Amino acid sequence: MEESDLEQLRALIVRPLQDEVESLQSRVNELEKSLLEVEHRAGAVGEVLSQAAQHRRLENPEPDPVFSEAIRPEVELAIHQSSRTDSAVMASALYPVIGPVIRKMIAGLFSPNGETSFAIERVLLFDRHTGLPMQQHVAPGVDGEDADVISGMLDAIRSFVEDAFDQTEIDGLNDMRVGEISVLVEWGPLAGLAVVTRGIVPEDFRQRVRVQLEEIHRLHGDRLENFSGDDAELASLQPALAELGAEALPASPASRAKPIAVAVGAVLLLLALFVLAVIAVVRVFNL
Amino acid sequence: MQRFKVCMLGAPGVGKTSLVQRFVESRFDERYIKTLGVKIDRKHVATPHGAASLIVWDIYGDEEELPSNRRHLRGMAGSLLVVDGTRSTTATIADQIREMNTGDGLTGPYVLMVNKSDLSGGTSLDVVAENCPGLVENAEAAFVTSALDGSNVEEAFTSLASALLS
Repeated sequence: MEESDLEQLRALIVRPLQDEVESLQSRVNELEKSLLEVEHRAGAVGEVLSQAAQHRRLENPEPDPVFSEAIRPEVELAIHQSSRTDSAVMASALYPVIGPVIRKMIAGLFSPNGETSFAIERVLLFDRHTGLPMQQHVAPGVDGEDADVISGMLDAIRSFVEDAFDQTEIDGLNDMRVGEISVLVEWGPLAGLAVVTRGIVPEDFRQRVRVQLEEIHRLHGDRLENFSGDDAELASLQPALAELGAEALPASPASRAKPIAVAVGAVLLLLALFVLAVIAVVRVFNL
Repeated sequence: MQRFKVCMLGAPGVGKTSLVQRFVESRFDERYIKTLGVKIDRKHVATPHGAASLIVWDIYGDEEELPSNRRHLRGMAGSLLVVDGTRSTTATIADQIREMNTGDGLTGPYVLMVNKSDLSGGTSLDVVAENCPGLVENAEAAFVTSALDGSNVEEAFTSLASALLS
C-alpha cells in the first residue's frame, strides 16, 4: 500500500473522531466557563428552584428536619432583619391574619360554649321624681344592694345635665360604657329603666328596653304615679324585669375575663403567629 | 323596704359631709360630690315606727350655687338642716334655705342639727332659736351634734326617719 493510500485511510477513520473530540472539548470549555460564573449559576438554579421544591414535596411529602434545621437560622435572620428594616412589611403581611384571629379570640372570651356574648347583670326600674328604686332584677351572683345609690346617681346625673345645658326636664344619661360594662337608660314620664350589661349589646336591644318601659307605663301607670318609696308596692313588676333580664344568658366567670387576660392572650397570639410564619417559610424552602 | 330621699342642707363648711360620713359607711369616693354636685349614700334605720332606708343626698355648693343645686332637692321626702354652732351666720342661711323649700313646695319634715358641739364657743339651741325662731319652731326635732365624736348624729337621722314613717 502506498503512503498516500494510508493517509487517505487514516483520514477516513480518524478525522470524524478528531472532529468529535474537538467539538466535545469546546463544549466542555463552555460548561466549565459557565460553572465558574456565579451569575450564570444563580440564573440556572433560579430557573428550576420552584420546580425543584415542588418535585421535592411530591417525592418526599414528609418534612425534612435536617434541611429545615439547616435553613432555620437563615430564615430567622431574614425575618428578624425584615421586621427591623421595615416593620410595615411584616405588619402588612400579618394584618389579614391577625385581625380576624384576635377578634375570634376575644369573642371566644365572651362566648363560652357558643353562648351569647351579651349578658344582662341588672335591670333597674326607678322613680323619675325621687330617684328611688322601684324594682330591680339582678342576675345570679350579682350584688343587688346598691340599687338605691345607683338609681339616685342616675337621677343626679340627669340634674347635672339639665344644669350644664340650662335645660329643664330633659332626658339625661342614655348610655354609659366603661370597659365591658354598659349601662342603657330609657326615661319614661314616671320612671326610668336602666339595664347594666356586659359584652356587646345587640343593636335592637335598646328598642326592646324602650318597649318594655312603655308597656310598664301603660299597664301600671297609676301605681308608678302613686309610688310611696316602698318597693313592695311594685313587686308584681318583677316578672316584667326578669323577662328583660332573660334576653341574654348570664356571663360565666370565664366570660368576665379581666382586661389583662385579654392583653396576655393577644401577646401569646402574636408569638404564636410569629412561630407559624417561621414554620411556613421553612416549609416553602423544604427542598 | 320603705325608702326615703333625704337631703343634707346648710351653708358650706357646717359639716354636712362629715355628718354623713359619721352616719353611713360609704363605699363611694368623696370626689363625686364635687364632680356632680352631690353624693348619695344609703342607711337602714330602725325606728319605733318601723324600719326604713334613708337615701341621703349630700349636696355640694355655696350660697351662690344654691339655686342651681336645688334641682337635686326634687322629690326629697325630708331634710337635715345643718348649722355650724360656732358661726351664727350659718343659722341665718339655714333659715333662708328653709324658707326657699317652703316656697318651692318642699314641705317635708326637717331635723335641725347644730353641729360642732365639740368645739369651744359653740352656740346653744336657745341662741339659734332667738336669732332664727322659725328655724327651730318648725323643725321636727333639733339636736346639738358633733361629727367628730358622733354625739347625737344617729339620733338626728333616726328622728327624721321616724317622722317620715309616722
